This record gives sequence, structure tokens and C-alpha cells, in this order.
Amino acid sequence: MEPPEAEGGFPGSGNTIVIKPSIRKRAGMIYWNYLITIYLFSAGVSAGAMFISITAGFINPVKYERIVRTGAYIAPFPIMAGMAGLILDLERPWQFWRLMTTIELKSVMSLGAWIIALFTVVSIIYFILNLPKNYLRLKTRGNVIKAVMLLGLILSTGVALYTGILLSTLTARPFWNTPMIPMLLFISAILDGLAGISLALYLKPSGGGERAVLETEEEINNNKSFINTVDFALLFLLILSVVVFIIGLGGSTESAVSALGIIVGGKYTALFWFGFVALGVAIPFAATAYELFNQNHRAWLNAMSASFALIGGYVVRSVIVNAGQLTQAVLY
Amino acid sequence: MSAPPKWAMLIDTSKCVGCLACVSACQNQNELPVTEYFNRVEEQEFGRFPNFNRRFVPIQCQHCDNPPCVDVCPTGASYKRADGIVAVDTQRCIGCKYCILSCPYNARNISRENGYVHKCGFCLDLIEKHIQPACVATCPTGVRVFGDLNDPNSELSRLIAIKKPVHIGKDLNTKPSIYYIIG
Amino acid sequence: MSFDKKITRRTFLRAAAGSTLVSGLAAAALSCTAPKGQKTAADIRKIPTQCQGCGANRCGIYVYVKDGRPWKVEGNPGTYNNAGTVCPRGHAYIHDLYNPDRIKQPLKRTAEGKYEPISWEQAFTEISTQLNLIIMEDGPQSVFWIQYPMANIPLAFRFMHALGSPNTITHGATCFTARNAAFNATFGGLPDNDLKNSRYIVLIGRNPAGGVKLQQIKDIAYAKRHGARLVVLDPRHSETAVIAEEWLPVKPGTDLAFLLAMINVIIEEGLYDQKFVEEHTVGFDNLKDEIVTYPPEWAEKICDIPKETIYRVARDFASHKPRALIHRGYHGGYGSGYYNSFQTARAVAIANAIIGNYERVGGLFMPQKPTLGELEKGGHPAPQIPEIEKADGSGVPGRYPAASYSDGIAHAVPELALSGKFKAGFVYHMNPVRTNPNPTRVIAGYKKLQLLVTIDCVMSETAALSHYVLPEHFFLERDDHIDTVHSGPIGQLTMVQQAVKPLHNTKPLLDILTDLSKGLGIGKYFNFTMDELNTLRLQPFGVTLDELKKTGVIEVGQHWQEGFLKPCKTPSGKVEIYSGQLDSWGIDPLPRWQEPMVSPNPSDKNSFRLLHGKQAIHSHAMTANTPYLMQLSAHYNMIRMWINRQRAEALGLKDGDTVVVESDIGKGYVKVRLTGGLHPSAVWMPSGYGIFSKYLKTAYGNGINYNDFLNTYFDPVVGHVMCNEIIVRVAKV
Ligand SMILES: Nc1nc2c(c(=O)[nH]1)N[C@H]1C(S)=C(S)[C@@H](COP(=O)(O)OP(=O)(O)OC[C@H]3O[C@@H](n4cnc5c(=O)[nH]c(N)nc54)[C@H](O)[C@@H]3O)O[C@H]1N2
Ligand SMILES: Nc1nc2c(c(=O)[nH]1)N[C@H]1C(S)=C(S)[C@@H](COP(=O)(O)OP(=O)(O)OC[C@H]3O[C@@H](n4cnc5c(=O)[nH]c(N)nc54)[C@H](O)[C@@H]3O)O[C@H]1N2
Ligand code: SF4
Ligand code: SF4
Ligand code: SF4
Ligand code: SF4
Ligand code: SF4
Ligand SMILES: [Mo]
Repeated sequence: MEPPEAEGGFPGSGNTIVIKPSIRKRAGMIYWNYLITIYLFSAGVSAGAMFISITAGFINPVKYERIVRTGAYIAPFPIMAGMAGLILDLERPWQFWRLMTTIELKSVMSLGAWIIALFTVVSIIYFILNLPKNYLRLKTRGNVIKAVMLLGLILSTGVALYTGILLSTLTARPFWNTPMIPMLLFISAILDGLAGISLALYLKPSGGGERAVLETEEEINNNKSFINTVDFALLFLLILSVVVFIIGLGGSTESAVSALGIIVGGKYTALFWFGFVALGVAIPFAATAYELFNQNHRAWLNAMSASFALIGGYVVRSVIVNAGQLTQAVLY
Repeated sequence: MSAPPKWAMLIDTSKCVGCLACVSACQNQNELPVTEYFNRVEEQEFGRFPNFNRRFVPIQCQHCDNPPCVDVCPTGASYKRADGIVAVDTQRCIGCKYCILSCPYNARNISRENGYVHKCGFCLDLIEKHIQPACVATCPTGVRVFGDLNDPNSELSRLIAIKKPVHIGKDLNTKPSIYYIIG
Repeated sequence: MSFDKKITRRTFLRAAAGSTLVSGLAAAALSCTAPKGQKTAADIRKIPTQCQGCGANRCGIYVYVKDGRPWKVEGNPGTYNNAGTVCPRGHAYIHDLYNPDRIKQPLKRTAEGKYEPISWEQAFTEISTQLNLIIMEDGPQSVFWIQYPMANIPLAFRFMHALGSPNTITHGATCFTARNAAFNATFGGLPDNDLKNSRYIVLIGRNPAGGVKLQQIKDIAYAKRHGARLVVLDPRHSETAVIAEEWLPVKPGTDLAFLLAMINVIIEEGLYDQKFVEEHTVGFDNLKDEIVTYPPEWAEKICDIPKETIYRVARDFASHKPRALIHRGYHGGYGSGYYNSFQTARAVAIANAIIGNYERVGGLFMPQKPTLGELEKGGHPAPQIPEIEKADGSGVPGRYPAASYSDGIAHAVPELALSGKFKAGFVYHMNPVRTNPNPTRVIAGYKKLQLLVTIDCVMSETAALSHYVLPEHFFLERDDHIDTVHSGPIGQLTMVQQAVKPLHNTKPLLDILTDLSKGLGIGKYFNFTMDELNTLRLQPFGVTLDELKKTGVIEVGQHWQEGFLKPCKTPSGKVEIYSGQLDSWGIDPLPRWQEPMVSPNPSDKNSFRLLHGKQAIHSHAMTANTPYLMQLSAHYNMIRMWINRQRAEALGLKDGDTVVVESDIGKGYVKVRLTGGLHPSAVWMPSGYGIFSKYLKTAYGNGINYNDFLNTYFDPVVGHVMCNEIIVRVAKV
């Protein structure tokens, strides 16, 4: 029998052979990178902005008009960037449509994709409703508007919770597999939304719209004290959640304890404690407390603490996304 | 006709010499490029000289009966077959990598060339023809026994009955189809 | 569904023997990595051949060629050395068919040291012209041929003998000659181990899981399932120690003390096989007289194994007789390691002999090597074997009388070249520049040659300083000479068989020799094709070449039978415990304690003995350039030198730190692996790295090699390299 002609070339990567540095176990490979961090972060900002906006709107659409409208203007956009991040992170981005042709009820990502899609639609409607010439109608609070607001509130809660749940349901990754992750990320999302609003207010203090109504000193102070109050409360909760998160990991299984090592004496220690705890929580907390108790609203202080909070919000997601992938359940 | 098959494997780590033949054989069988693997062999050391020992633990997809990778898949690309095999419909996979992160055994890979996730499929092509999976056939010390759990007469079923093997990561409630003797 | 029952050896064999064309049935299948339900048809052929991933085992394999491309490898269940299994190298090595570093046409070295492609005609003409001149001037004995003894070696012998040179050399002196010489002196040959049926197995510096021989590791696993105890004597917790009942971390180079004490216990306590000793051995009484000086109390201080353990192992070993054995060993423990290796191997042979396990089930047995048919029968007379002594002194009284004539002394070549005794040489399937001690000297020697021709598939270190490099077909592209390497309890014939058409302008060895011989005036010795040759080789067995090509293995002759049926090929015809012949050569006729030649300085915390060994994923120095295997090295972080944890900590070392290793001839940098699995007096280096040929792009620059630190030594008995007689200083950088 004649032997066949040999066909083909060297398998794999053309003719260049890459010898990669050693990896003893496959745990510790980073599959989700900064694109996913951006996705989680921007989803948080959008959800938070929407959540704050609608909450403020429910409480007093007149008094908190600036917050309501700024939040509404912010909400639709970060999440679109986030979705772009998610799609770019897919290994087969052109297959993205498959996410939107299936609903897998057990898959947090599938549900999340749908929630985010709905959220985006609702946030756009809400955005339109809040455009200057429509805002008056909003204030009248017809049933339709109320329904949109309610839907928006539910969806923004969903999105804010989703990012954490996406991670926390994975028993494979002890760093993520705790209920404190959704808690932490939820609070952080609302804070980020708030920080976004606060920053926008500072950068564009006149806020647009019907100047006559909005330009008094009192209006500004109203909005700011709302922000500071919520900020203070949420930051306090966030601090609590971090403490519970750490104690929780530390007092749990062998896997969890070693997972904790990553932010206590391990690879992400500095980033977690300086980038998140100090910059993103402690400083904004101090600044907010100072403003709140002195009733002394300084724009620069506000802006700084909002920026730091946003940085902290990104950093904490980055740490969580990466650290989680480095940890593995002990198998045997 | 007896019950349909339920494929499973028994891995006796007390026999493993860490030669990596199973890794190499699997790469060929599945035509994987140089840097991709469906299975691996972990090594553990115990004790100090001279009271020392070490152990090799081969790991691959455990074909869980309660597979987190299937649960998390947003497109339904990952699915569980009636014969116990957890498979990936590569056409439907969008490469979100959620399943990779959900797998406690780190058993899933991205195909760099194609962008989909792939993994050990218990050498379905072979077992359909009653040929042992590549990693089983090549193992010189008989670490791996493959067979049908639903056939009480299979060597696998008999060994499982006698040796009382365990699951690794059993706290995770994944209900693997790979049984281990950790020795 | 009775899955397990269907995979029996018989059905498998039937399928295998039936046809080599399996396309169709293998084609349509649902792959788990393929889309649901999608079926792909492929043309798949299954070709029985021999793996050439290492020279040592040449496992019987089936190569699957899928759509013209080698796809995968399966073990041939019928071949002795691998019995159906394949090691990691066997799987990965087939892809080297496409290795970008392969040589694609003959090359000639230019004045600037570059290589330019030339035609085969030019290569043959120039080589034969130069060789004719050299032979005219210095005689045919100034030409040598060195190779790892693959199945093709009779062709090389024929070629050299036709030229009139006796100087055919193998790698032996760098590998196993101390062991072979000792077993020859004792049993008149090299017995095999019946591991499968043994119930007490002692491995001394043998690691079949790393220095792979699949049949051995498979048989050990089988024996263990049937209750055998496995004891591993190795300074390192070897991969075989991982599955052993007991690991005895002997101090390197002192196995002889352990063995003498073992023999002492067996004799003093009367545990030996009296009948066997009386009937089939000579010199037991001499041994009995001397051995009293070596009790375990004496040995424990030397070899670091407690006397209780020695007593226990000796008693257990003897009590399992005759189904107990000390493995005959290979390279690591006493193949060519130490000044005392020859006597250590003698002690192994004798410890086996006195429990009467020779030619017994579960003990040692002489393999049934078939004798292949003669070419004369087909009208191709053999050339005269030259009567000149071998230049390296192997088998020469007064020089290395116990050395093997057929193996020669590989690392003597550089000296012989420098002294002008060798003027021209052929290197085939070997890479002495990387695998012989002291590269600086080897390079100087080989460079001194007027003509150096290397026949290889890639630019090895040796090829990279040759005048001509002749590329051989990759093993998947050629047929080789019929091989008997698989002969154990029964004779087996196997062969390398072509699986795909050659990719490049390369040739098989026979064609190279045939064409060369024309210009050298010895054309009449090479006037046959490989098929004609192999047909003649098969003649005595009544099987056809086609049958062999179809099944990949054919068993011939009688199965081994238990019992001392034939006299030994020793002068006395018996097992020689005391060897008069050794005595006449001035060599200790009985094993007596000898120190290793050099030892680390116990009061210097940086001083270590440098040991080395195989990893299952690499062959010597030749697979470091196989991407699939080198990737495993990287993935599993295997390019590290082992060091005892306590000693490393005393040097301030952490796992993964880089150290500088220095001997009196070499210096290098390598990462360390801290472990409790290594005797404190030694460091251990995997031996498959340290490639310095820049043409081998995957391998180049990864790791270092023990030969970089090894002086040029010739052990006084057989002239082996004494490759564990290296003292290095290890320090943190
Ligand atoms: N993967 C692989 N397999 C191979 C080969 C290959 O290149 N790669 N080559 C084949 C060939 S040619 C050979 S020669 C064999 C070699 O096969 P082996 O001789 O079994 O292998 P080595 O790894 O050289 O050495 C085995 C062990 O000897 C130990 N050793 C070193 N010094 C001493 C000592 O003083 N006393 C004792 N008791 N032990 C000691 C080492 O720690 C090592 O674990 O392998 C064959 N199989
Ligand atoms: N560095 C190092 N040195 C060693 C050892 C070690 O492990 N490492 N081990 C020692 C031992 S035990 C031994 S047995 C010897 C072995 O010594 P060698 O035989 O020199 O070792 P290999 O590295 O196997 O070299 C084989 C050469 O043959 C080439 N080759 C492979 N396939 C083919 C083919 O099909 N045709 C042709 N023509 N050439 C081919 C390879 O490219 C390579 O150059 O080395 C001894 N020295
Ligand atoms: S082939 Fe067998 S012995 Fe080798 S690593 Fe795999 S399971 Fe272990
Ligand atoms: S081992 Fe991992 S990939 Fe395999 S079924 Fe279980 S979870 Fe899925
Ligand atoms: S990567 Fe593919 S298989 Fe995995 S979860 Fe995403 S879509 Fe499913
Ligand atoms: S069963 Fe097949 S695919 Fe799975 S690890 Fe073994 S060889 Fe690889
Ligand atoms: S031991 Fe491995 S590399 Fe050597 S011939 Fe056998 S399969 Fe090939
Ligand atoms: Mo060797």
C-alpha cells in the first residue's frame, strides 16, 4: 500500500513555538480581564445612577430635581460601554446575538443579559422622560410614568445586584462564593451612581433645564445634603460589609482562608487596602462626614470624594474579578 | 438490552507515576495545539527528608451529574448528555468563559484558534467504538479504569464496589463521574 | 452494555491485524469538541511501526494518519517493550515530522561556519573523495562511526567493515557499560528481569517511570496488584519510588556497601539457595570468606541506610526466593556512574545469583534473541571483519579488557581525534557533543577531524560542527532494518515502517550508504534495497515482510522456559561469583568495598554531588526541541534542579530561586526545586536540557546539563564516563 502524502504543517501556532512560563495548576489563570471589570463597574454606575435618581424622584421630584435629572442623564450610557466591554471580552464576539436568543433560567449571566437589556431600554425611556421639555410631565406623575419609574427601580436593583450574584454563585471560586460579594457590589454600585451624579453636579453646577427653578443656593444645598446623607449611610454599610466579608472568609473553609490571603498579605493586598479601602471608602467617608456635620458644602471636596469613590469602585471590582480567578476550592 | 450506559472513570492515584503520557495522548486524540490540555497531573509533596512522600493526582473534567458549568452557561452550549458526558456544542458557544470560572476542577479551556470552550469529552469517538479513551489506553500503570456505571459487571462497577472510592471536591455537590482512590 | 468485555486483547489484535486502512469506520463520529450532531468524514489509516522517540525502547506503535497528517499513536499490544502503551514522548514525537527545525537538504559547512544547501550528488562526491584521501594517507582505521545502536546498526557495521575499519562505537560508555560488563562477567550475558511474576522487587538507581521502559513499569504495577513488594534504593524520591512500598534514600555512590551487607546477611543467616549455588555457580566459598567483613553495622555508616533496614530487606528479599529480584539496572545507579559502578553491578548480579533466581520465573532470565537471516543467502557476502584493534582500547588486553568490543568507548573519540588517530568520522543518530562529558573538550576533538559527517534529522550540536550534514528521513517517512529489540521471553521481530511520504529532500540511511559506497569502491556491499534486505533477514523464520508490515510484530522461536537449561557463556559455563577472568586482568575477582572517586566536602555547605536523571517527557538531549514536550517542561516547571530542602534553606534558598552551579570545569545557572525527596549530599538535575545548538529554536537556552560539569574520566575497568563523580558548588545568585 502506498503511504499517503504528508499534509499540513506544525499544529497550533504556525511555526513559532511559545514556551510559556510555568503554571503548575490551571487555577490562577486570568480568563476575565479588565474588560469584565469595566463591564461590572459601568453596569454599577448606571444602575446606581438610575436607582438614586428614581428614589429621589419618588421622594420629591421638585426638591431633588437636579439629582433626578442628572441621574437619568447618566444611566443609559455607562452600561452601553459596559456591554461593549462584555462583548469585546467574548472570544467570539460576533456570536453575541446568541445571548439574546436564549434564556437559561439557571444561568445568572443569561438572566443578567436580559435584565441589562431591559434596563437599557427602560433607562433610555427614562432618559427621554427627563429631557427638559418632558420633565414637567414627570413631575405630574402619571401612572405610566410611575410604572416606568417602578420598573426602573426594580431593574436597577437587579443590575446592581446581578454583578455580584454573577460571581458569588460560583462555588468553584472561594473568594467570590460568599453572599457578601453581591452585598458589597450592590452598595458599591449605588455609591458609584451617586458619585457619578455628584461629580456631574459639580462639573456642571447649573444642571441645565429650567434655570429659574434650579439656580437658588437652597436648591443646590438640598441636593447636596441628600447626596451626603445617602453617601454617608451607604459608606457606613459598605465598611460593615467589608468587615463581614473578611471575617466571613477568614472564619470559613480552608479554601476561603487561602482565598483571603490574596488581599491579606497576597498579590492584591496593596491594591485592595490602598486603592479601595483607603481611597475609595475611608477618604470619601471622612469627607462626607465632614460636610454632613458641618453643613459646609464645598464643591471641590465633593468632587474629590466622588472621584475617589469612583476610583475605589473600579479598583474593588478589579481586585474582586482578579482575586476570584486566582482562588480555587481545595479538592482533595 | 440492559440500561443505557453511564460513563465513568476510576482514578487510582496510588498508582500514578506522573509520567504525563495521558496528557500527551489526550492532546493528540483531540488534536490540541501545543499549549492546550484537557487533563493535567498535579503533584503534592509530604514530609521532610527522609520521611518523605509525594503523590500525583490526574485531573480532568469530572463529568459532573450536577455540573455548575452547564448551569451557568448563558447560551445552552454546555449540556449534559444522557450517558453522563458533559459536552460543549461548540457552535453555540460565545466564549464568555463563565463556565471556565464556574468549574471547580479547572477542567475547561478556551480554544485559542476557534474561540470556543472545549474540554475532555471522555473520548466519545473512541468509546462509541468500544475503544478505551486515549488517556486510559496509554497509562502504563493502570491508574485509570473507564467503563459503564450502569453495567454491574463492568470492571469499573466492580472496582467501585470493592474499593469504595471518593469524589474530589465533594463538598461542592457537583456529583462527579470520576471516582478517586487517593493513596 | 458490556463495554469492558469488548476491549480484550484478542479483539483488538484482530482489528489491528485485519487491515491498515480503517477509514470509514473511524471517520464518522461525534466529537465532543465538534458542534452537536455534526459529523466529519476523514481518511484515516493506521500503520504499524516503531516509535523512535527514544533509541532505548523502540516501542511497537500504530501511527494514525488522518487526511495525510500523522494524528495520533497507539501502543501495539503485542510488542514486549511497551505492551500496548505509549509514553508521553511517543505521542508527541510524531509532530516533529513538521518541526520547523528539520534539515531539508544536505548541508555543507562554509569557511565562515555557516551551512549552505548542496545537492546529494555533490555531498556524495565530496565526502567520498575526501574519505578516499584520508584512507589512503592514514589507513581505514583512522575512520570511525558512532551511533546510538538503532536497528540500522548492522548497516553501519557493514559499511565500516567494508572500508576496513573496526572503529564502530556506540553511546554505551556514557550509559550502561559498567553494568553490562559486570553481568557478562557473572552470567555471560545480560539477563532481563521477570518483574511481572516477581514478588519482591528491589530497584537500585533504576527508575523505569522516568527512564521509561513501559513494559517494566507495567509489569511492576501488575506484580504489585498481585502482592509484590517494591523497594526503591535511590538518593532521590524517584517517580518509581512514588508507587513503591519503601524508599531507601541511599547516599549516592555507596550502593555497593548496601549490597555487600545484604549479601552478608543472606550468607551469614544461610538464606541463600544452597542447591543453586552448589550446582550452578563458582567461587561461592571465596565470597563467603570475604563477606564477613561487610555486616550491616559496617554498611550503615557508609550508605546512610540503617542496619535494621538492611537486615529486613535482605531477609525479605531472600525469603521470597526465587521470585525476588534486584533489577539489573540501567544507567542511573551503576550503569556508568561511579568509580565503583562495575563492582556495584557485580554485587547486584551476585546477590541475585545466590538466591537462585537466575532463569527462574519471577527472577532473572536470558532473553530469547532470534538470529536474523544472513545476506549471503541472497548473494550479498559480508565484508571481512577487520583484525585491527579498536583505537579506543575496548576489549584490548592491557587497556580496557572488560569493555565491550561492540560498544567501544564513545568519549574517547575527542582524545583520539586530538592525538591524530582519528581523521574522519561519521555520526549517525547520536549527538556526542551534547551527550558526552565536557563539551569544550568534545568540541575541540570533533573539530580537529579532517572530515566529520553527521546524519541526523535536525541540527544537533554535533551536526552544527560537522563538515557535512546529511538529513535522514524522519522515522515516519522510512523503512528501517528489522529489529529484535523487543525480544524478551520470546523472540520478536519489529520494524520501522513508512507512514507518510517524505516531506523534504532527505534519504534513509541505506540509500545514503549505498550512494556513498559507490564512490568509495565498496559498492558491491550495498547492492540491495531495504525490502530485499529485510526479506533475507526474515528468511529463517518462514514469515514474509508483508506479514510483518501488516502486524508490526511477529513472534519467532521458542518461548523462554524456566531452568538452567544452557551453560552460561562464561569461561566456566557457570555463574561466576568469583571471576578468574577478572582476576587475570588485574580486576577484583570479587566485589570489595570501594569508595567513590570524589565526594562532596561535608564541612562546606555549598558542596554537593551532582546527580542527574531522566524525566518521562524527555529523551536524552533529543526531545528538548519537540515543542509539545518542551511545553510540558515549562507548564510543569520541570527545568529545575532538585536540592534537599534543609540544605537549601541553609543556603538561603527558596523554591524557584536561581543558583549558580560550578564544578572545576563548568559553570551554569539554573532554578531550584526544594524537596524533602533528595539525599542531602546531592543535587539532582534533569538530564534533558541545556541544548546549545542555536538551530534548535525550541530547545535552545532552556536549562543546563550535567555534562557541562563532568570531567573527562575513563573508569579503569570498562572506560565508562563515571558521570556521577561530579562535585559542584551551589550558591544563591
Ligand atoms: N524518559 C526517558 N526514558 C528513557 C530514556 C530517556 O532518555 N528518557 N533513555 C533510556 C536510556 S538510554 C536509559 S540508559 C534509561 C535510564 O534509565 P535509569 O537508569 O532508570 O534512569 P536515570 O534517570 O538515569 O537514573 C535513575 C535514578 O538513578 C538515581 N541515582 C543516581 N545516582 C545514584 C546512586 O548512586 N545510587 C542509586 N541507588 N541511585 C542513583 C537517580 O536519582 C535516578 O532517579 O532510560 C531509558 N528510558
Ligand atoms: N545531556 C545528556 N547526555 C547524556 C544523557 C542525557 O540524558 N542527557 N544520557 C546518557 C545516556 S543514558 C545515553 S544512552 C546517551 C545517549 O546519547 P545520544 O544517543 O547521543 O542521545 P540523543 O539525545 O538521544 O541523540 C540522538 C540524536 O539522534 C538524532 N535522531 C533522532 N531521530 C533520528 C533519526 O531518525 N535519524 C537520525 N539519523 N538521527 C536521529 C537526534 O536528533 C539526536 O541528535 O547519552 C548519555 N549522555
Ligand atoms: S499516564 Fe498514568 S501514570 Fe502516567 S501520569 Fe497519566 S495517570 Fe499517571
Ligand atoms: S468538571 Fe467542570 S467542566 Fe466538567 S462537568 Fe464538572 S463543572 Fe463541568
Ligand atoms: S464559554 Fe461557551 S460554553 Fe462556556 S458558558 Fe460561555 S457560552 Fe457556555
Ligand atoms: S477521556 Fe479522552 S478527552 Fe478526556 S482526558 Fe482522557 S484522553 Fe482526554
Ligand atoms: S519509550 Fe516512549 S519514546 Fe521510547 S520508544 Fe517507547 S513510546 Fe517511544
Ligand atoms: Mo542510556
